[in-house]
Amino acid sequence: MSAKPRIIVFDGESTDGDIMTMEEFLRLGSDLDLDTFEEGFVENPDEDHALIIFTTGSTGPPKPVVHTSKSVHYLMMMNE
Amino acid sequence: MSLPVDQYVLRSEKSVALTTPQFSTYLLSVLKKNAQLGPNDAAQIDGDTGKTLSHQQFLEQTVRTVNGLRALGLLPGDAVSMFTRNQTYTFTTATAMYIAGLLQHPGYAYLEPELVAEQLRVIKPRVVFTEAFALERVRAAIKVSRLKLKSSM
Repeated sequence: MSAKPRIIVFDGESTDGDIMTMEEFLRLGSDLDLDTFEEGFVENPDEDHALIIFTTGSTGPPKPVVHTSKSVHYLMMMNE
Repeated sequence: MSLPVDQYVLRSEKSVALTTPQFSTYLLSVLKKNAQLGPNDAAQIDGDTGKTLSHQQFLEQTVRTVNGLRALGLLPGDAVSMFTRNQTYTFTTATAMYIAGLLQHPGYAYLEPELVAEQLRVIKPRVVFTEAFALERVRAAIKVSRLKLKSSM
C-alpha cells in the first residue's frame, strides 16, 4: 500500500505531524542557484505524463484523462 | 475518414515534441525572461485578497517549490494533487510541478468527499496541496481513499 500523502496547506497553520504549512515547505527549497537547479532536470520515466484531470461524470463515473508534457507544451505554443 | 489532426497540432515551427528536461528548461527560460524584462511588474493578482506576485517573486517562488518537492523526495513521474482556488501559490505550484516532471492533479475541492477519495485512490498522490477551507474535506477523502485501497488489496 502506498504511503500516506503529505499535506501542505497554503494558508493554514501547522496543527499536527502530517500537515506542513507552505512557509515551512518553501524553507526546504530556499537555495536559488539556478545553475545547480537545472542540473536536476531529468527524464520522466512515466511516458512524460504531466497532468491528469477527471471528466465531470455526466455520462457515468468520472474518468481520468492524462496529458503529456508534449501536449501541455503544444497548448502553450498555440497561445503564444 | 481520419481527421488531419497533425495539421492543427503542429502548426508552429516551434511546436516540437519536448522531453521532460527540455520542457523544464523551456518553462524556466520563460520565467527568467519575464523576471528580466519586468522584475517588479505584476505577474499575478489575487482578485479576492489583492495580493500581488511580481515576475521576480513568481520565478523565486517556483524555484523554491521545485526544490521543496525535491527535498521531500519526489521524483519525476510521482503524482501530486492540488485542491485550491486560484490564488498566488496556485500557478507557481502548478508550474513547479511541470518543471519537476511530476504528474499533477488539479482537484475540485467542492466535490463530495467520496468522489475526491475515488480520484485519490486512482492517483495515489505523494503530496496534496490545499487551503485551510478545504483541509478537513481533503483529510476525510484521504482517509476514505486509504480504506478503499486497503480493502482492494
